[in-house]
Amino acid sequence: MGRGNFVNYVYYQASGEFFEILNKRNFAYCVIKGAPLSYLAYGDFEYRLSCDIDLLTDRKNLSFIEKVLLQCSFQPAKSETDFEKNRRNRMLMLTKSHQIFPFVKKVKGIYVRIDLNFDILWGESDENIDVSAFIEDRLMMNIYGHNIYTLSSCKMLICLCLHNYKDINSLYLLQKENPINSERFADIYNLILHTGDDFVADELKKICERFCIKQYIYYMLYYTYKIYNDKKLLKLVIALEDEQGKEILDYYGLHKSERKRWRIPFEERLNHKKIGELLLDDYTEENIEKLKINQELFE
Amino acid sequence: MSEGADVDINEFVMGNVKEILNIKSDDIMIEDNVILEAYNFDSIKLIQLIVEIENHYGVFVPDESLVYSNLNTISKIVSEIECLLQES
Repeated sequence: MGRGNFVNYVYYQASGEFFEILNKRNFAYCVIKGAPLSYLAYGDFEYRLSCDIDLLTDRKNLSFIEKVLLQCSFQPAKSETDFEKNRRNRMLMLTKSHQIFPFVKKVKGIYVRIDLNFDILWGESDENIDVSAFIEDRLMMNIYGHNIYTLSSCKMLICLCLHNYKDINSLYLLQKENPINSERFADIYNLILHTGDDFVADELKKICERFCIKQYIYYMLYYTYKIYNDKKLLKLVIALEDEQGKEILDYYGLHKSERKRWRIPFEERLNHKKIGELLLDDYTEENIEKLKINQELFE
Repeated sequence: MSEGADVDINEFVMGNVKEILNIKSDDIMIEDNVILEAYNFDSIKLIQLIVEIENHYGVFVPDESLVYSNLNTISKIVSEIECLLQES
């Protein structure tokens, strides 16, 4: 039994009907991270602890998916009684984030949560990914008896790297529990290890170049290699060598306008207990204002 | 077609942008295709504008259009409203 203690099992049993409807309609979606990643990286759906099911779809599909979720007894996790406030919050999520508010359903005392992601880059990125193109070669995986679409190991690695890059560079998350932790890099390393020879550096490079995301993947692979010092990782780091990626190695902050140079070496910031306190002096008034907006929206 | 559709859309959007930015008409002229970013018209202000537009024209800007880069000029916003009014 993995560390997830069957939580993932409950998640997928509770959402089986939802995925069945999407599949019957041949709807373009993918489950990213979570149980499929746990399986691809560790050979076990339960190994990684998950707190939700992350669904990726094009933003034009969101309204339909929300209707199906309501039909399957899921409810929006955050909803205001004031219609205008609801509308403003939704617009805020659509213009400043990569996801809208999650949906939840309580089953056997567990809150089953589905996150609706419409981008694999962050909200204020200058680029947007064409999600429909990114998931066009999605794969079917049977998870606890349910047929669910997910991504190839290569694309899963890209999603994982981008997700982790976003978290460890977010001025907001750096003020909460330190997002720069060993587990993030362990997931990347294990996904690469378990994929074996199928992992073709050329394929990864080709996809990264197509979607203009090479710098971020290089960044994550570079630091994963720094921890594990493995030949397989080095091969990928070399294949993805990128000037823009090298330029951002010593900085944090998601948008170039808010980027700051690290004053703490990587080895020290990894798993540091009070990283937020050390960084607060570097934050501008504008950064603090942005933190408040994020707090209001996400907490 | 909704009640507000007879109002000149460009004029309505320009008026609201000036109001949100607290710019008096004789202080500065916002040209039709100005990039709103130049006036620090960030996504929070954009949302304020879109809410005004939706309330006035009785339309909803769809999810796929709610991308900052799709709505960062007056002309893009006006064109979006025109499309929505034609559809409604």
